Amino acid sequence: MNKLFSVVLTLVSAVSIAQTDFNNYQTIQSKGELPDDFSISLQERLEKEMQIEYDMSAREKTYFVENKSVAIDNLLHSGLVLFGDPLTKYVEDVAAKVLVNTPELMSELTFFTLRSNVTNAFVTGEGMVFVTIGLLSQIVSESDLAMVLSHEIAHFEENHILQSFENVVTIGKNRKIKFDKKIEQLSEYSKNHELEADELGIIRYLNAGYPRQNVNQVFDILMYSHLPIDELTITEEMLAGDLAYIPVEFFPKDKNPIKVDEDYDDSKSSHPNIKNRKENAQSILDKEKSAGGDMAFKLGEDRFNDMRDIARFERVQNWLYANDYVNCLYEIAVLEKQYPNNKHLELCKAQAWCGLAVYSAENELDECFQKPEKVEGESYTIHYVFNELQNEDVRVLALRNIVDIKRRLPNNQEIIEMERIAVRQLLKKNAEWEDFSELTFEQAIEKVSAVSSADSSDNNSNKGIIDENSEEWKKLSKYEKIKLKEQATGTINSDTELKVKAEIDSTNFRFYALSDYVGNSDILKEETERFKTKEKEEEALEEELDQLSKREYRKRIKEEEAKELHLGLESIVFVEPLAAEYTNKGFDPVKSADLQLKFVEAIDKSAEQQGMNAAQLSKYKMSDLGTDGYNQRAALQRYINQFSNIESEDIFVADYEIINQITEQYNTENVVFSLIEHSFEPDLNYLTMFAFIYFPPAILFYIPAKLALAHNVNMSVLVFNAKKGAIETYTNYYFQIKPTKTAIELHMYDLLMQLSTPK
Amino acid sequence: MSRLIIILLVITSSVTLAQNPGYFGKYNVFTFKYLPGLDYSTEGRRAISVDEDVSLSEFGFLKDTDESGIVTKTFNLEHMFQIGYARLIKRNIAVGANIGYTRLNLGQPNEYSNQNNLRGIESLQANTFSFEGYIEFAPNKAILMSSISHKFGLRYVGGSLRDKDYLGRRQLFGGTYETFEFPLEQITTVEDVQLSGLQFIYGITLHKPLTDFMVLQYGFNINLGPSLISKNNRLNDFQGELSNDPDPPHIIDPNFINFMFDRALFTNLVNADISLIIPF
Repeated sequence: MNKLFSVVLTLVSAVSIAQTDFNNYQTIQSKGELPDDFSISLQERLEKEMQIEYDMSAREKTYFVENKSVAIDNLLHSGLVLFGDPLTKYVEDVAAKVLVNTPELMSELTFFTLRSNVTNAFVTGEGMVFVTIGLLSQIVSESDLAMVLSHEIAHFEENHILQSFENVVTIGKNRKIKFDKKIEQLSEYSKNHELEADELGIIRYLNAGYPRQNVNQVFDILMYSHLPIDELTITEEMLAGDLAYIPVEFFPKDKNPIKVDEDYDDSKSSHPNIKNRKENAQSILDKEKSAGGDMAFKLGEDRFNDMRDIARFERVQNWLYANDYVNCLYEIAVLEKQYPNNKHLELCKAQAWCGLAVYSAENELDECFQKPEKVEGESYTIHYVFNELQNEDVRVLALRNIVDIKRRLPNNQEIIEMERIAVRQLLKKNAEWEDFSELTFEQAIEKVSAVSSADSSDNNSNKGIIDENSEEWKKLSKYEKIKLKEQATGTINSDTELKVKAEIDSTNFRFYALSDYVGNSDILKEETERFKTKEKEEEALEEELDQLSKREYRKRIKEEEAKELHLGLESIVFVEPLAAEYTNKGFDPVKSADLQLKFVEAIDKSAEQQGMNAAQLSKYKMSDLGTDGYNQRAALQRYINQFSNIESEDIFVADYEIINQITEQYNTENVVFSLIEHSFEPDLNYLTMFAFIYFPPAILFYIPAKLALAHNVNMSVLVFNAKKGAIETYTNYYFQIKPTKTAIELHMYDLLMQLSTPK
Repeated sequence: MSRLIIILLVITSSVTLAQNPGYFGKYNVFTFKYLPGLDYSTEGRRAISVDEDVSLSEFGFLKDTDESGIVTKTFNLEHMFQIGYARLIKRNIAVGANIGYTRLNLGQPNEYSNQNNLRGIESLQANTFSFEGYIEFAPNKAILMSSISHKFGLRYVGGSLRDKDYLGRRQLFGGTYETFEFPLEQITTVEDVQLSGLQFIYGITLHKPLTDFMVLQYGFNINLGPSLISKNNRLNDFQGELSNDPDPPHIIDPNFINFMFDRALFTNLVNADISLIIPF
């Protein structure tokens, strides 16, 4: 009865959970009650950790506790950690299956998902298990996750974190060993831990009833984890949009093969190589002959597929956060095979193209793709293409693609905004609209007369050609596809090669990409008008300034500077500052946290004195803000990261929905990001002091003066308009007194007073 | 003097406070300073001995004798009290005025009439009152009350000799010494002494906010004399001359005392500036 009941329960849960509407997909957010770990401050965490007994000296304990507490605090508040979301719930459910024989361990462990496309999982000494979106998007079955979790839980049970630290201390202290040898020894210890975790993990995995034959699958996942989620041949149509054409010379003739070596040199690595791990795993499997089950999907295959697709959709989002637009486009293309005409993917694609347009206008396009020689497999093509394209080509292709997406998703305000952004990038770079043809490239060729060579069907007679459109192909996993392709000898050339006469230069293909757009678009007309007006205004201002005398000009600049903070704000949102306290030993994270806390308290007090609504989306306020506040803070951090990579006002924020939510909730579009740094560096010139031998009393002035001026405090404040995606204003305070609570409050008072003063 | 006050008032009232945070919204400050000063100089300010037998240290002054008749040395501190008001007219600029009282040691003339075999005399002291007006500013974007600042000002110092009995040492027949007291009237013609002087002040101070209602200010001032408006002669113009009168009416010429006052102001070149500031 119990077995039947649990099977029914599994089926019910599998059916009820796997219902994600991918067409109207919403980026996952943390949900539910905020875990305690997020609402305690670093200072409280340190206090708690210092009460634990460790078998080490007081100094070592302080170092260990401080470093791990700081690392955990930074990670939990990085804006990358998810809890209570569908992915984390899945991880928890799989963990429950893994721990079926030791359920008491579940209460010692907490599980989180990490917004990172790197394939990884790790555990802390406190029992926090983090699994990345990268890993969840790459696995092929629930059993893979079970194996990973078993491995991490083994690390926790065997206290490997503490042991690693102890090894570092012991080996570090030994002055007889050279540095290289120390690295090797530490590497050896670390690898032993990994093998031990593999062994214990496999045993737990088998005892939980997962299949033996899937154990080594995890190592394949690791081995190929540097590749995207699937192998897909990129064609010209995928990048050119509906009416554009990218000549074949922009595409590579060959691709970089996928190179994997199971038996690489791991002498200085923290992990054993794949070969060693597989051999170790096999020896365990040989010992545990009867262990293991046959269910790779204890929670149901549908639920797994749903989870993995969520992870893959999130992966696309992560690429957007990182401004890694080319990888983003590639993986969208992969997902579109499974989800054609998907609204969410179209929006992401538009964002990626929009981002590419902005980066190309700033001449930073190479930040958006990898060097092709470093890319393996099918994704080599897309990186190669973008490496070959000129900035002007990319801007035009961006607009082309966004316009095509707009046709498919009319009246979408975000797409319209992106179209405007794409047009502005062309205007910024003085695009001459007269140069754009009303003909498409093919029409232009027909006019000139072209010679077409063998089409793609002829090329299919080559040996070993793989039909990527077949149903059989779609069912294969990424790893099976890779292996099959390695065996294949031919490649598909899906382009029709066109030889053209000298009248049309294929490198000018972009002038034929907007044949339906230039001359017909209202948005183009509006943006052009706006751009010209802005240019005229700037010219007029420049002329006006040129007329001024030097004195008048300086006066004018001073007046402008005095008013630069005057925004007339009644409400504002603060994110807690980045704080850096430097001692003679360098950056001190604990003192930095104290400095940060002073700043947070100063904001509260100054806002109250000014009668201003200053909401703080700060990690120090998490217990009041709850999960919603946590998500909002995370979104803001991602936003500023996205913005700071390029510093263009035209970057379209990936989390625009949450940003809109913040502006509505707090009744302001303005968010303050800040940085406070402090160092104490008495600039005592010993040579000068030596000279005071001739006049000793001067030392009584020199040393106190130098000590009094030794504090260097720099406070930078940036007011960001989250709705416009633009910096409203920026200021910097520098002072040479100790940053006490009162000193910081005084500057915060000044800042808020300035911000609330009308223009 | 009144002109200076008028100028300060005009500056204060004419500047708007729109971008000025003051000190947490307070724009007036009250300053209070007390500073003891140790009079140190190599010559002119100490008690001068004509004979080497009367040993007086460079820091010491004749004060009193112990039972054995030995002159004991002690220090005469200079005391400076000052209170003031300042107005924060911009975030980095303040104008203010201080009034102060200083007990100043004038030291000794190079020579004095050797009346009654006088061998040494205690340093003369003056009670002086000062009034200073100043403008203080910090670097452009800094907030004055949490920054290093530069101060420029003018200080008028005026006063009178301290009316007390001054100790002297004279040699008696037989080579012994006697300590006795001189009333001020015997030392000089008081009505002819006019102690007044003008100093130009430059100061560097650091402001450290302590609480919402208190700031500590510390630094130093450079005080540049000599007297600009005094009727007295400038330094080095007057060497001090002994009266040729075998029975002069005073020990020290009043003109020389005026000169000693100028010299005291001039040699009081650098002083520490430690004040408590109360914004209101």
